[in-house]
Parts: sequence; structure tokens; C-alpha cells
Amino acid sequence: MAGSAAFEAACAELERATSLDRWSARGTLQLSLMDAGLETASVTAAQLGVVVDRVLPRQLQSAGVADANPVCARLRDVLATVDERGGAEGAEAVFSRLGA
Amino acid sequence: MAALSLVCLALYTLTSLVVGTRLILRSRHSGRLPELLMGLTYVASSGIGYPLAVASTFFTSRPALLAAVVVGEVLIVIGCSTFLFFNAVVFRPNAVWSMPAAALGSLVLAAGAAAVIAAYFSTSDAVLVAERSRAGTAAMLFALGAGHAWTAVEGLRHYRMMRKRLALGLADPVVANRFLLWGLTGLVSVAWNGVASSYVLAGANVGADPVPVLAISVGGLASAIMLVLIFMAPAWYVRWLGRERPSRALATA
Repeated sequence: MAGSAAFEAACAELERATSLDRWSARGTLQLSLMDAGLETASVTAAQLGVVVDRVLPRQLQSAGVADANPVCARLRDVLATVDERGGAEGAEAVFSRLGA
Repeated sequence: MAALSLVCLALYTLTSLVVGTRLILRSRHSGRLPELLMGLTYVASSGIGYPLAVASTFFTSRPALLAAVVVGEVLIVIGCSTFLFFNAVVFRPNAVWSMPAAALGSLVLAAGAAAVIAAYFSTSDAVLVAERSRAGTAAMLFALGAGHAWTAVEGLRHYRMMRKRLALGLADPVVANRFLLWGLTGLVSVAWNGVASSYVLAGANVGADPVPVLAISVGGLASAIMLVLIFMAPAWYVRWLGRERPSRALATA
């Protein structure tokens, strides 16, 4: 299943910034999202930024990446430029509106 | 006892009408599909369709009874179908199975309603109508029960995810609570509709037996309260939820 624009951009950058192959990079990010209660299809760049700060370093260590800090910095730079227009609306956005 | 269940059902009907109308009006302003689907669900089925179908049994004029049955059943099918499509659109927008599942459920509902309507047109004998409409009613109840179970699973799954997001400051506790209530609404609906429908299908008098009466009363009352807390939560409730954890929602843009 295709991920959101932010997720796909982060996966591509993680693959470039580390020795992880495509599937390992996606898997590492997916595990981080699961830990944060987020889904690949609807995660936004802002949410992914928090995951990169708070959850991903631990997953990168587990995946054998020695120094996670420069990798996370590169991911943050990429996420800042992601164009999220036209993305699918997540259930959280709908439920935040429905009761307002 | 029967009067108590009627009062609780009336409360649920009234709440559904208010909530549904608000959502439809909101969808007219915003042009958003989820609001329209959910608004139609509450207005068409819980707000008008079910009460009309129940009230039709008290009509003495046959043309009025048949008209009420047709309109009531059609509204029930519309409302329950939009409910299924709400689940598909909001919770599983990218899943290949969700829209076909909602469409299949809608077809089952429509076929069941057609069978119920045909039973009413075939005879004026109430016993025969009950007997001939049993299969159609069972099909509708099965589709509706599956829809409520789907709601429960999605609501509780999202509540579990929202708790993880809360720990990272990525979610609003009020929205997390809406998912919890949404899941609980599905569970409660499965329970009270299940009890009531099993008695209906067994040919029992639902209004005379204390078990279905209690299930309908408690279920209707609980559903009405949860609808209010999800869609029109009072300020004190929102403040109480917000005190648990500061809101730093990033996902609602």
C-alpha cells in the first residue's frame, strides 16, 4: 500500500542516507510509526517530524545504523519541503471536525 | 417496562435527529462527504425510518400503514447504507475491500427491505406478515450488526493508536475520547440490537419480555448519551478531558 507523501519522501531519504536497502528503510520507518500509533497512508510531515525526533533513533540503532543524528537531521530537512496538498484525509482529521 | 423502553428509544430518536441535522447542515457549508454520510445515517434511519416503521404497526388505515412501511424501510436502507460507506470512506479509504463491502452490505439491506415490504403488500394478516418478513428482517439485522461490529473495531483500534500518539503529544485527548466513544457505541449497538433482533426473529413479543425491554432501554439511553458526547460534547466534558493531558494535536490539519 502506498504511503503518504511525507512517508514516501522520508523512506527515500532514509535509503539514501544509510546503508539500508529499500525494504529495510521502509520497515524501520513503519515500525517507528507503529510505536507512535500512526499509519503510513495518512501520516503528515509534522507528525513524522516528531517520530524522527522521538522514536526513529531507537529503531535506527536496532537496524545497525551507528550514528542516527545526521540521518535524522537529513530526514527533518526533507520533511520540511514535502508538498502535502491533495493527500488523503485521515480518520483523526474527520473526528476532530465532527464534534467541533 | 415497555413504556420505559419507548421513552429511551424516543430519546435516542430525538438525539439522532438533532445530531444528524447538524451534520447535514455542516456538510452543506463545507461540502465534506463524511459529515453528509453520518448526518444522513442519523436522520434517515435512527431519526425517521425506525420510528416510522415501529409506528406503522399502530396504523388502522391499510394505505397509511403500507405508505409508512415503504417510506420507513427505504429510509432505513438509505441510513444504514450511508453508515457502511462512512466506515469505508473514513477508516479504510485505501483498502480494496472496504467499498465493495459497504456496497454488498447495502445490497443485502435493500433486498431485505424489499422482502419486508413485499410481505406487507401480500396480506393484511399481522401473523402472516411477521412470518413472511422474517427472512428479510434477518438479512437486514445481519448487515446492520456487521456494520456496528465494524464500527466497534475501527473505533477501538483508532483509540488504541491515539493513546500512543498522546504519549508523544501528537493527539488531542478530546478526539481520542471520540474514537473510544465511537467504538463503544458500536459495541453497545451490537449488544442491544442483537438481543432485540433475536427475540423478533424468534417471534416473541419484544414489548412484553423484560430482557429485550431492558436491553433496548439501556442500549438506547447509552447510545443517546454517547452521541451527545461525540458530536455535541458539553464544555465541562471537554474541559475534563483536556485536563488529562495538554493538547498538542498536529494531525488535524
